[in-house]
Amino acid sequence: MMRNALLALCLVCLLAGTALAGERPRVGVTLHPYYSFVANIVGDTAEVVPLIGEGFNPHNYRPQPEDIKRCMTLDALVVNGIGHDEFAFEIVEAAGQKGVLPLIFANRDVSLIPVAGRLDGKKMVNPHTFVSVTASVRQVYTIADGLAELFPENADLYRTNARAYALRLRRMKAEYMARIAGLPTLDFRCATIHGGYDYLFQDFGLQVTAVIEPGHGLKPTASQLARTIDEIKRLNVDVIFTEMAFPDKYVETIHQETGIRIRHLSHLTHGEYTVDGFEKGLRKNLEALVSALAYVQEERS
Amino acid sequence: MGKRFVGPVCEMVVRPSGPGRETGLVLLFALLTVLVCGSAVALRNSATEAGPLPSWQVDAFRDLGGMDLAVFNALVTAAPEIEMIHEEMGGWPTVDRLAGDFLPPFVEDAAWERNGAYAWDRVAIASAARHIVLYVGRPQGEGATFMLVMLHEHIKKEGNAAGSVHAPFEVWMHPSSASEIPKTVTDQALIGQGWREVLARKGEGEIRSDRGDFVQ
Repeated sequence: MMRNALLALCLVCLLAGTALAGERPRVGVTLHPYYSFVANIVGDTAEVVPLIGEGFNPHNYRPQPEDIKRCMTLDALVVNGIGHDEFAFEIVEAAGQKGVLPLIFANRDVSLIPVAGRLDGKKMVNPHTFVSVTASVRQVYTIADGLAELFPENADLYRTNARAYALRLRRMKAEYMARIAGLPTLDFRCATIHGGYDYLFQDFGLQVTAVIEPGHGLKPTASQLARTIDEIKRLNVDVIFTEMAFPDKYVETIHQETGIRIRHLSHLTHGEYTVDGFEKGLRKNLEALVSALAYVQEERS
Repeated sequence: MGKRFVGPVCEMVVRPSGPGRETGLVLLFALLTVLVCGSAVALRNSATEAGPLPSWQVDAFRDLGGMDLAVFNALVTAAPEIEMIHEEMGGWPTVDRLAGDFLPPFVEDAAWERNGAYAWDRVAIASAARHIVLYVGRPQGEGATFMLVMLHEHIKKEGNAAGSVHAPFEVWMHPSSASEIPKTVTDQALIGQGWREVLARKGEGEIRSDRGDFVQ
Protein backbone atom coordinates (compact mmCIF):
# COMPACT_ATOMS: atom_id res chain seq x y z
CA MET A 1 0.00 0.00 0.00
CA MET A 2 2.76 2.36 1.06
CA ARG A 3 4.78 1.43 -2.03
CA ASN A 4 1.83 2.18 -4.33
CA ALA A 5 1.32 5.55 -2.67
CA LEU A 6 4.97 6.47 -3.14
CA LEU A 7 4.85 5.42 -6.78
CA ALA A 8 1.74 7.51 -7.32
CA LEU A 9 3.40 10.50 -5.66
CA CYS A 10 6.44 10.13 -7.90
CA LEU A 11 4.20 9.92 -10.94
CA VAL A 12 2.30 13.05 -9.93
CA CYS A 13 5.60 14.94 -9.39
CA LEU A 14 6.91 13.76 -12.74
CA LEU A 15 3.75 14.80 -14.56
CA ALA A 16 3.67 18.15 -12.78
CA GLY A 17 7.32 18.75 -13.66
CA THR A 18 6.71 17.85 -17.28
CA ALA A 19 3.69 20.11 -17.42
CA LEU A 20 5.63 23.00 -15.91
CA ALA A 21 8.53 22.41 -18.28
CA GLY A 22 6.08 22.38 -21.17
CA GLU A 23 4.69 25.73 -20.09
CA ARG A 24 8.02 27.46 -20.22
CA PRO A 25 8.16 29.74 -23.24
CA ARG A 26 10.80 28.98 -25.83
CA VAL A 27 12.87 32.04 -26.71
CA GLY A 28 14.98 31.66 -29.83
CA VAL A 29 18.31 33.41 -30.41
CA THR A 30 20.41 33.81 -33.54
CA LEU A 31 23.92 34.45 -32.21
CA HIS A 32 25.97 33.18 -29.28
CA PRO A 33 26.03 36.44 -27.29
CA TYR A 34 22.25 36.61 -27.46
CA TYR A 35 22.05 33.13 -25.95
CA SER A 36 24.03 34.35 -22.96
CA PHE A 37 22.09 37.63 -22.71
CA VAL A 38 18.68 35.93 -22.79
CA ALA A 39 19.70 33.06 -20.50
CA ASN A 40 20.90 35.53 -17.90
CA ILE A 41 17.73 37.60 -18.17
CA VAL A 42 15.14 34.80 -18.05
CA GLY A 43 16.83 32.42 -15.59
CA ASP A 44 14.66 29.33 -15.30
CA THR A 45 11.48 30.96 -16.57
CA ALA A 46 12.10 30.22 -20.24
CA GLU A 47 14.00 27.86 -22.47
CA VAL A 48 16.63 29.55 -24.64
CA VAL A 49 16.82 27.94 -28.07
CA PRO A 50 19.61 28.63 -30.59
CA LEU A 51 17.97 28.99 -33.99
CA ILE A 52 20.93 27.34 -35.73
CA GLY A 53 23.39 24.73 -34.50
CA GLU A 54 26.89 25.29 -33.22
CA GLY A 55 29.87 25.69 -35.48
CA PHE A 56 28.30 27.62 -38.32
CA ASN A 57 29.49 30.92 -39.69
CA PRO A 58 26.59 33.38 -39.35
CA HIS A 59 27.96 35.47 -42.23
CA ASN A 60 27.20 32.94 -44.93
CA TYR A 61 24.81 30.50 -43.27
CA ARG A 62 22.17 28.83 -45.44
CA PRO A 63 19.01 27.78 -43.55
CA GLN A 64 18.45 24.06 -43.02
CA PRO A 65 15.09 22.21 -42.78
CA GLU A 66 15.60 21.53 -39.06
CA ASP A 67 16.05 25.29 -38.46
CA ILE A 68 12.64 25.91 -40.01
CA LYS A 69 11.04 23.19 -37.87
CA ARG A 70 12.71 24.62 -34.77
CA CYS A 71 11.51 28.10 -35.62
CA MET A 72 7.92 26.88 -35.65
CA THR A 73 8.21 25.85 -31.98
CA LEU A 74 9.36 29.26 -30.71
CA ASP A 75 7.37 31.82 -28.73
CA ALA A 76 9.78 34.69 -29.47
CA LEU A 77 13.02 35.26 -31.34
CA VAL A 78 15.84 37.64 -30.41
CA VAL A 79 17.77 38.95 -33.42
CA ASN A 80 20.64 41.31 -34.12
CA GLY A 81 18.63 42.69 -37.04
CA ILE A 82 21.21 45.08 -38.45
CA GLY A 83 23.14 42.78 -40.73
CA HIS A 84 24.65 39.98 -38.70
CA ASP A 85 21.90 37.37 -38.81
CA GLU A 86 20.23 37.67 -42.19
CA PHE A 87 19.61 33.93 -42.16
CA ALA A 88 17.05 34.38 -39.37
CA PHE A 89 14.67 36.29 -41.60
CA GLU A 90 14.85 33.60 -44.28
CA ILE A 91 14.08 30.96 -41.65
CA VAL A 92 11.17 32.91 -40.16
CA GLU A 93 9.71 33.47 -43.62
CA ALA A 94 10.18 29.85 -44.69
CA ALA A 95 8.53 28.67 -41.46
CA GLY A 96 5.49 30.81 -42.22
CA GLN A 97 6.15 32.77 -39.02
CA LYS A 98 6.57 36.20 -40.55
CA GLY A 99 4.21 38.55 -38.71
CA VAL A 100 3.30 35.73 -36.32
CA LEU A 101 6.45 35.05 -34.29
CA PRO A 102 7.32 38.06 -32.09
CA LEU A 103 10.80 39.32 -32.96
CA ILE A 104 12.87 41.24 -30.43
CA PHE A 105 15.36 43.48 -32.23
CA ALA A 106 18.24 43.67 -29.76
CA ASN A 107 19.79 46.67 -31.49
CA ARG A 108 16.65 48.77 -31.56
CA ASP A 109 18.00 51.32 -29.07
CA VAL A 110 21.73 50.99 -29.66
CA SER A 111 23.48 54.11 -30.90
CA LEU A 112 25.42 52.75 -33.85
CA ILE A 113 28.93 53.67 -34.86
CA PRO A 114 30.64 53.45 -38.23
CA VAL A 115 33.28 50.88 -39.09
CA ALA A 116 36.45 52.77 -38.19
CA GLY A 117 39.65 52.59 -40.19
CA ARG A 118 38.07 51.72 -43.52
CA LEU A 119 40.73 52.36 -46.07
CA ASP A 120 38.13 53.71 -48.53
CA GLY A 121 36.99 56.26 -45.94
CA LYS A 122 33.28 55.32 -46.23
CA LYS A 123 31.05 55.42 -43.14
CA MET A 124 29.27 52.09 -42.92
CA VAL A 125 27.19 50.90 -39.97
CA ASN A 126 29.03 48.39 -37.82
CA PRO A 127 26.63 45.58 -36.81
CA HIS A 128 29.01 43.99 -34.25
CA THR A 129 27.36 45.63 -31.28
CA PHE A 130 27.63 42.42 -29.24
CA VAL A 131 31.41 42.47 -28.76
CA SER A 132 31.48 45.38 -26.32
CA VAL A 133 30.20 45.93 -22.81
CA THR A 134 28.38 49.23 -23.28
CA ALA A 135 26.51 48.28 -26.46
CA SER A 136 25.75 44.83 -25.03
CA VAL A 137 24.29 46.34 -21.88
CA ARG A 138 22.01 48.49 -24.04
CA GLN A 139 20.88 45.36 -25.86
CA VAL A 140 20.34 43.45 -22.63
CA TYR A 141 17.90 46.16 -21.49
CA THR A 142 16.08 46.17 -24.84
CA ILE A 143 15.76 42.38 -24.76
CA ALA A 144 14.54 42.45 -21.15
CA ASP A 145 11.91 45.06 -22.10
CA GLY A 146 10.79 43.00 -25.09
CA LEU A 147 10.50 39.82 -23.05
CA ALA A 148 8.68 41.68 -20.27
CA GLU A 149 6.08 42.82 -22.79
CA LEU A 150 5.58 39.28 -24.04
CA PHE A 151 5.63 37.61 -20.62
CA PRO A 152 4.51 40.32 -18.19
CA GLU A 153 4.23 37.90 -15.28
CA ASN A 154 8.05 37.82 -15.20
CA ALA A 155 8.69 41.48 -16.01
CA ASP A 156 10.16 42.37 -12.61
CA LEU A 157 12.45 39.36 -12.63
CA TYR A 158 13.72 40.15 -16.13
CA ARG A 159 14.48 43.70 -15.17
CA THR A 160 16.27 42.72 -11.98
CA ASN A 161 18.30 40.05 -13.77
CA ALA A 162 19.16 42.43 -16.60
CA ARG A 163 20.52 45.01 -14.19
CA ALA A 164 22.51 42.43 -12.25
CA TYR A 165 23.98 41.08 -15.49
CA ALA A 166 24.82 44.57 -16.75
CA LEU A 167 26.59 45.37 -13.50
CA ARG A 168 28.55 42.11 -13.71
CA LEU A 169 29.71 42.91 -17.23
CA ARG A 170 30.72 46.43 -16.27
CA ARG A 171 32.55 45.16 -13.20
CA MET A 172 34.52 42.78 -15.40
CA LYS A 173 35.49 45.64 -17.69
CA ALA A 174 36.49 47.68 -14.63
CA GLU A 175 38.97 44.94 -13.64
CA TYR A 176 40.79 45.40 -16.92
CA MET A 177 40.49 49.16 -16.87
CA ALA A 178 42.25 49.09 -13.51
CA ARG A 179 45.13 47.19 -15.09
CA ILE A 180 45.77 49.93 -17.64
CA ALA A 181 45.01 52.82 -15.30
CA GLY A 182 48.69 53.38 -14.63
CA LEU A 183 49.68 53.46 -18.27
CA PRO A 184 50.24 56.90 -19.73
CA THR A 185 47.71 57.86 -22.38
CA LEU A 186 49.41 56.87 -25.57
CA ASP A 187 48.52 57.06 -29.21
CA PHE A 188 47.66 53.39 -29.66
CA ARG A 189 47.55 52.58 -33.35
CA CYS A 190 46.11 49.21 -34.26
CA ALA A 191 44.75 47.44 -37.30
CA THR A 192 42.10 44.73 -37.24
CA ILE A 193 41.61 42.10 -39.88
CA HIS A 194 37.85 42.22 -39.42
CA GLY A 195 35.91 45.45 -38.92
CA GLY A 196 34.08 44.00 -35.97
CA TYR A 197 35.71 45.42 -32.88
CA ASP A 198 34.93 49.12 -32.95
CA TYR A 199 32.41 48.92 -30.11
CA LEU A 200 34.93 47.07 -27.93
CA PHE A 201 37.61 49.63 -28.70
CA GLN A 202 35.18 52.44 -27.99
CA ASP A 203 34.72 51.00 -24.49
CA PHE A 204 38.44 51.61 -23.99
CA GLY A 205 38.50 55.07 -25.54
CA LEU A 206 40.44 53.65 -28.49
CA GLN A 207 39.88 53.65 -32.20
CA VAL A 208 40.89 51.22 -34.91
CA THR A 209 43.39 52.80 -37.29
CA ALA A 210 42.93 50.41 -40.23
CA VAL A 211 40.72 47.47 -41.21
CA ILE A 212 42.24 44.92 -43.53
CA GLU A 213 39.14 43.15 -44.89
CA PRO A 214 37.87 45.14 -47.86
CA GLY A 215 34.27 44.29 -46.89
CA HIS A 216 32.38 42.29 -44.29
CA GLY A 217 33.54 38.69 -44.69
CA LEU A 218 35.49 39.43 -47.90
CA LYS A 219 39.08 38.34 -48.29
CA PRO A 220 41.54 40.79 -49.84
CA THR A 221 42.92 40.18 -53.29
CA ALA A 222 46.69 40.19 -53.80
CA SER A 223 46.70 43.81 -54.94
CA GLN A 224 44.40 44.88 -52.07
CA LEU A 225 46.69 43.09 -49.64
CA ALA A 226 49.72 44.88 -51.07
CA ARG A 227 47.97 48.25 -50.70
CA THR A 228 46.93 47.32 -47.15
CA ILE A 229 50.52 46.48 -46.22
CA ASP A 230 51.69 49.83 -47.58
CA GLU A 231 48.93 51.58 -45.65
CA ILE A 232 49.76 49.78 -42.41
CA LYS A 233 53.39 50.80 -42.75
CA ARG A 234 52.41 54.38 -43.50
CA LEU A 235 50.05 54.56 -40.48
CA ASN A 236 52.71 53.28 -38.05
CA VAL A 237 50.42 50.59 -36.69
CA ASP A 238 51.57 49.08 -33.37
CA VAL A 239 49.53 45.87 -33.25
CA ILE A 240 47.36 43.89 -35.65
CA PHE A 241 44.38 42.05 -34.22
CA THR A 242 43.24 38.99 -36.10
CA GLU A 243 40.86 36.16 -35.32
CA MET A 244 40.80 32.40 -35.65
CA ALA A 245 38.48 32.33 -38.65
CA PHE A 246 40.70 34.49 -40.82
CA PRO A 247 43.11 32.55 -43.09
CA ASP A 248 46.60 32.45 -41.61
CA LYS A 249 48.31 33.08 -44.93
CA TYR A 250 47.10 36.68 -45.06
CA VAL A 251 48.09 37.34 -41.49
CA GLU A 252 51.49 35.71 -41.99
CA THR A 253 52.11 37.76 -45.12
CA ILE A 254 51.24 40.98 -43.33
CA HIS A 255 53.41 40.01 -40.37
CA GLN A 256 56.35 39.10 -42.59
CA GLU A 257 56.10 42.29 -44.60
CA THR A 258 55.57 44.68 -41.70
CA GLY A 259 57.07 42.90 -38.70
CA ILE A 260 54.13 44.09 -36.62
CA ARG A 261 53.03 41.95 -33.68
CA ILE A 262 49.82 39.91 -34.22
CA ARG A 263 47.22 39.45 -31.44
CA HIS A 264 43.93 37.56 -31.40
CA LEU A 265 40.40 38.72 -30.66
CA SER A 266 37.25 36.64 -30.74
CA HIS A 267 34.17 37.46 -32.74
CA LEU A 268 32.15 35.74 -29.97
CA THR A 269 29.95 33.85 -32.43
CA HIS A 270 31.63 30.45 -32.28
CA GLY A 271 31.61 27.40 -30.03
CA GLU A 272 29.01 26.18 -27.60
CA TYR A 273 25.95 28.14 -26.60
CA THR A 274 26.35 28.64 -22.86
CA VAL A 275 24.99 30.94 -20.17
CA ASP A 276 28.44 32.29 -19.36
CA GLY A 277 29.83 32.05 -22.90
CA PHE A 278 29.68 35.77 -23.49
CA GLU A 279 31.47 36.57 -20.25
CA LYS A 280 34.21 34.04 -21.00
CA GLY A 281 34.70 35.32 -24.54
CA LEU A 282 34.60 38.92 -23.42
CA ARG A 283 37.19 38.24 -20.75
CA LYS A 284 39.55 36.78 -23.35
CA ASN A 285 39.08 39.82 -25.58
CA LEU A 286 39.65 42.22 -22.68
CA GLU A 287 42.77 40.29 -21.75
CA ALA A 288 44.07 40.48 -25.33
CA LEU A 289 43.41 44.17 -25.60
CA VAL A 290 44.90 45.08 -22.23
CA SER A 291 48.00 42.97 -22.81
CA ALA A 292 48.45 44.60 -26.24
CA LEU A 293 48.26 48.05 -24.66
CA ALA A 294 50.81 47.06 -22.03
CA TYR A 295 53.06 45.57 -24.73
CA VAL A 296 52.99 48.75 -26.82
CA GLN A 297 53.74 50.85 -23.76
CA GLU A 298 56.69 48.62 -22.91
CA GLU A 299 58.01 48.74 -26.48
CA ARG A 300 57.85 52.52 -26.58
CA SER A 301 59.43 53.01 -23.19
CA MET B 1 31.57 -3.34 -104.69
CA GLY B 2 28.00 -2.56 -105.66
CA LYS B 3 26.91 0.69 -107.11
CA ARG B 4 25.75 3.20 -104.49
CA PHE B 5 22.54 5.00 -105.19
CA VAL B 6 22.91 8.71 -104.87
CA GLY B 7 19.60 10.59 -104.58
CA PRO B 8 18.99 14.21 -105.47
CA VAL B 9 20.90 16.53 -103.21
CA CYS B 10 18.79 19.03 -101.30
CA GLU B 11 20.63 21.90 -99.74
CA MET B 12 19.00 24.12 -97.18
CA VAL B 13 20.55 27.26 -95.85
CA VAL B 14 19.55 28.01 -92.27
CA ARG B 15 19.89 31.71 -91.74
CA PRO B 16 20.47 33.21 -88.33
CA SER B 17 17.37 34.78 -86.83
CA GLY B 18 18.95 38.17 -87.16
CA PRO B 19 22.33 39.70 -87.71
CA GLY B 20 23.80 39.46 -84.16
CA ARG B 21 20.39 39.63 -82.52
CA GLU B 22 21.21 37.13 -79.79
CA THR B 23 24.46 38.93 -79.05
CA GLY B 24 22.57 42.19 -78.74
CA LEU B 25 20.00 40.62 -76.41
CA VAL B 26 22.72 39.11 -74.23
CA LEU B 27 24.48 42.46 -74.02
CA LEU B 28 21.21 44.21 -73.18
CA PHE B 29 20.48 41.65 -70.48
CA ALA B 30 23.98 42.09 -69.04
CA LEU B 31 23.53 45.85 -69.04
CA LEU B 32 20.17 45.53 -67.29
CA THR B 33 21.71 43.22 -64.68
CA VAL B 34 24.49 45.70 -63.99
CA LEU B 35 22.00 48.56 -63.71
CA VAL B 36 19.64 46.69 -61.38
CA CYS B 37 22.46 45.39 -59.15
CA GLY B 38 24.16 48.79 -59.11
CA SER B 39 20.92 50.50 -58.09
CA ALA B 40 20.32 47.90 -55.38
CA VAL B 41 23.82 48.39 -53.95
CA ALA B 42 23.48 52.17 -54.10
CA LEU B 43 20.09 52.07 -52.38
CA ARG B 44 21.36 49.71 -49.68
CA ASN B 45 24.40 51.88 -49.01
CA SER B 46 22.18 54.92 -48.76
CA ALA B 47 20.86 53.48 -45.47
CA THR B 48 23.90 54.93 -43.78
CA GLU B 49 23.30 58.37 -45.24
CA ALA B 50 21.37 60.58 -42.89
CA GLY B 51 18.67 62.89 -44.08
CA PRO B 52 19.10 66.62 -43.67
CA LEU B 53 18.82 67.81 -40.08
CA PRO B 54 17.97 71.26 -38.80
CA SER B 55 21.03 73.30 -37.87
CA TRP B 56 20.37 72.83 -34.15
CA GLN B 57 20.66 69.06 -34.36
CA VAL B 58 23.69 66.82 -34.81
CA ASP B 59 23.80 63.33 -36.29
CA ALA B 60 26.08 61.44 -33.89
CA PHE B 61 26.97 58.75 -36.42
CA ARG B 62 27.89 61.18 -39.18
CA ASP B 63 29.13 64.27 -37.39
CA LEU B 64 30.84 63.24 -34.15
CA GLY B 65 34.48 62.21 -33.83
CA GLY B 66 35.51 59.07 -31.97
CA MET B 67 35.86 60.63 -28.51
CA ASP B 68 32.61 62.58 -28.65
CA LEU B 69 30.77 59.57 -30.03
CA ALA B 70 32.07 57.45 -27.14
CA VAL B 71 30.79 59.97 -24.56
CA PHE B 72 27.45 60.26 -26.35
CA ASN B 73 26.96 56.49 -26.67
CA ALA B 74 27.78 56.03 -23.00
CA LEU B 75 25.12 58.61 -22.11
CA VAL B 76 22.56 56.89 -24.35
CA THR B 77 23.22 53.60 -22.53
CA ALA B 78 23.31 55.18 -19.07
CA ALA B 79 20.00 57.02 -19.48
CA PRO B 80 17.63 54.02 -19.12
CA GLU B 81 19.60 52.80 -16.12
CA ILE B 82 19.38 56.23 -14.49
CA GLU B 83 15.64 56.09 -15.07
CA MET B 84 15.46 52.64 -13.46
CA ILE B 85 17.44 53.77 -10.43
CA HIS B 86 15.16 56.78 -10.14
CA GLU B 87 12.06 54.60 -10.18
CA GLU B 88 13.54 52.32 -7.54
CA MET B 89 14.89 54.86 -5.08
CA GLY B 90 12.62 57.79 -5.81
CA GLY B 91 15.46 60.28 -6.28
CA TRP B 92 17.89 60.93 -9.08
CA PRO B 93 21.21 59.10 -8.70
CA THR B 94 24.25 61.20 -7.94
CA VAL B 95 27.26 61.18 -10.22
CA ASP B 96 29.17 59.30 -7.49
CA ARG B 97 26.49 56.63 -7.38
CA LEU B 98 26.65 56.18 -11.16
CA ALA B 99 30.43 56.01 -11.07
CA GLY B 100 30.17 53.44 -8.26
CA ASP B 101 28.06 51.27 -10.58
CA PHE B 102 30.89 51.50 -13.16
CA LEU B 103 28.58 53.38 -15.52
CA PRO B 104 30.37 55.22 -18.31
CA PRO B 105 30.84 58.11 -18.94
CA PHE B 106 30.71 58.79 -15.18
CA VAL B 107 33.17 56.16 -13.97
CA GLU B 108 36.68 57.61 -13.95
CA ASP B 109 38.70 54.91 -15.65
CA ALA B 110 41.25 54.79 -18.46
CA ALA B 111 38.57 55.21 -21.13
CA TRP B 112 37.16 58.22 -19.28
CA GLU B 113 40.62 59.76 -19.29
CA ARG B 114 41.16 59.09 -22.97
CA ASN B 115 37.76 60.51 -23.84
CA GLY B 116 38.38 63.92 -22.29
CA ALA B 117 38.17 63.26 -18.52
CA TYR B 118 34.73 64.84 -18.27
CA ALA B 119 33.70 66.29 -14.91
CA TRP B 120 29.99 65.73 -14.38
CA ASP B 121 27.43 67.72 -12.40
CA ARG B 122 23.89 66.74 -11.61
CA VAL B 123 21.33 69.53 -11.53
CA ALA B 124 17.67 68.92 -10.74
CA ILE B 125 14.97 71.28 -11.92
CA ALA B 126 11.90 70.01 -10.15
CA SER B 127 8.49 71.53 -9.60
CA ALA B 128 4.98 70.22 -9.24
CA ALA B 129 4.56 70.24 -13.00
CA ARG B 130 7.85 68.91 -14.31
CA HIS B 131 10.84 66.82 -13.32
CA ILE B 132 13.91 67.59 -15.32
CA VAL B 133 17.34 66.45 -14.25
CA LEU B 134 20.50 67.45 -16.06
CA TYR B 135 23.80 65.61 -16.06
CA VAL B 136 26.25 68.15 -17.45
CA GLY B 137 29.80 67.13 -18.34
CA ARG B 138 32.73 69.37 -19.21
CA PRO B 139 36.06 68.11 -20.52
CA GLN B 140 39.32 68.88 -18.77
CA GLY B 141 40.87 70.29 -21.91
CA GLU B 142 39.44 71.32 -25.24
CA GLY B 143 36.16 69.78 -26.32
CA ALA B 144 32.40 70.06 -26.20
CA THR B 145 30.16 70.18 -23.14
CA PHE B 146 27.64 67.32 -23.04
CA MET B 147 24.30 67.41 -21.28
CA LEU B 148 21.98 64.49 -20.60
CA VAL B 149 18.45 65.78 -20.02
CA MET B 150 16.23 63.33 -18.18
CA LEU B 151 12.59 64.14 -18.81
CA HIS B 152 10.70 62.21 -16.21
CA GLU B 153 7.23 60.79 -16.93
CA HIS B 154 7.28 62.30 -20.42
CA ILE B 155 6.25 65.68 -19.14
CA LYS B 156 6.62 68.10 -22.01
CA LYS B 157 9.13 70.87 -21.64
CA GLU B 158 7.73 74.38 -21.57
CA GLY B 159 7.83 76.35 -24.77
CA ASN B 160 7.18 73.41 -27.07
CA ALA B 161 3.97 72.48 -28.81
CA ALA B 162 1.67 70.86 -26.30
CA GLY B 163 0.52 67.29 -26.51
CA SER B 164 3.39 65.76 -28.46
CA VAL B 165 5.25 62.81 -27.03
CA HIS B 166 9.03 62.81 -26.90
CA ALA B 167 11.79 60.51 -25.71
CA PRO B 168 12.27 60.22 -21.94
CA PHE B 169 15.73 61.69 -22.32
CA GLU B 170 17.71 63.87 -24.69
CA VAL B 171 21.40 64.57 -25.17
CA TRP B 172 22.65 68.03 -26.06
CA MET B 173 26.13 69.36 -26.70
CA HIS B 174 27.72 72.79 -26.66
CA PRO B 175 30.91 73.62 -28.58
CA SER B 176 32.39 75.39 -25.56
CA SER B 177 34.19 73.27 -22.97
CA ALA B 178 33.07 75.62 -20.19
CA SER B 179 29.45 76.17 -21.06
CA GLU B 180 27.18 77.33 -18.25
CA ILE B 181 24.50 75.04 -16.92
CA PRO B 182 21.24 76.27 -18.46
CA LYS B 183 18.57 77.56 -16.10
CA THR B 184 15.73 77.12 -18.56
CA VAL B 185 15.47 73.85 -20.38
CA THR B 186 13.42 74.34 -23.49
CA ASP B 187 14.43 73.68 -27.07
CA GLN B 188 14.30 77.38 -27.87
CA ALA B 189 16.27 78.45 -24.81
CA LEU B 190 18.96 75.83 -25.38
CA ILE B 191 19.26 76.61 -29.08
CA GLY B 192 19.50 80.32 -28.25
CA GLN B 193 22.48 79.60 -25.98
CA GLY B 194 24.29 77.63 -28.67
CA TRP B 195 23.34 74.09 -27.61
CA ARG B 196 22.65 71.45 -30.27
CA GLU B 197 20.67 68.28 -29.76
CA VAL B 198 22.58 65.11 -30.60
CA LEU B 199 20.61 62.38 -32.33
CA ALA B 200 21.68 58.75 -32.34
CA ARG B 201 21.71 56.62 -35.46
CA LYS B 202 19.81 53.85 -33.70
CA GLY B 203 19.47 50.27 -34.75
CA GLU B 204 15.74 50.93 -35.08
CA GLY B 205 16.35 53.06 -38.17
CA GLU B 206 18.49 50.38 -39.79
CA ILE B 207 15.94 47.69 -38.93
CA ARG B 208 13.08 49.69 -40.43
CA SER B 209 15.14 50.40 -43.51
CA ASP B 210 16.29 46.82 -44.11
CA ARG B 211 13.71 44.67 -42.34
CA GLY B 212 10.72 46.93 -41.92
CA ASP B 213 8.38 44.20 -43.13
CA PHE B 214 9.35 42.10 -40.11
CA VAL B 215 8.64 44.82 -37.55
CA GLN B 216 5.30 44.12 -35.85
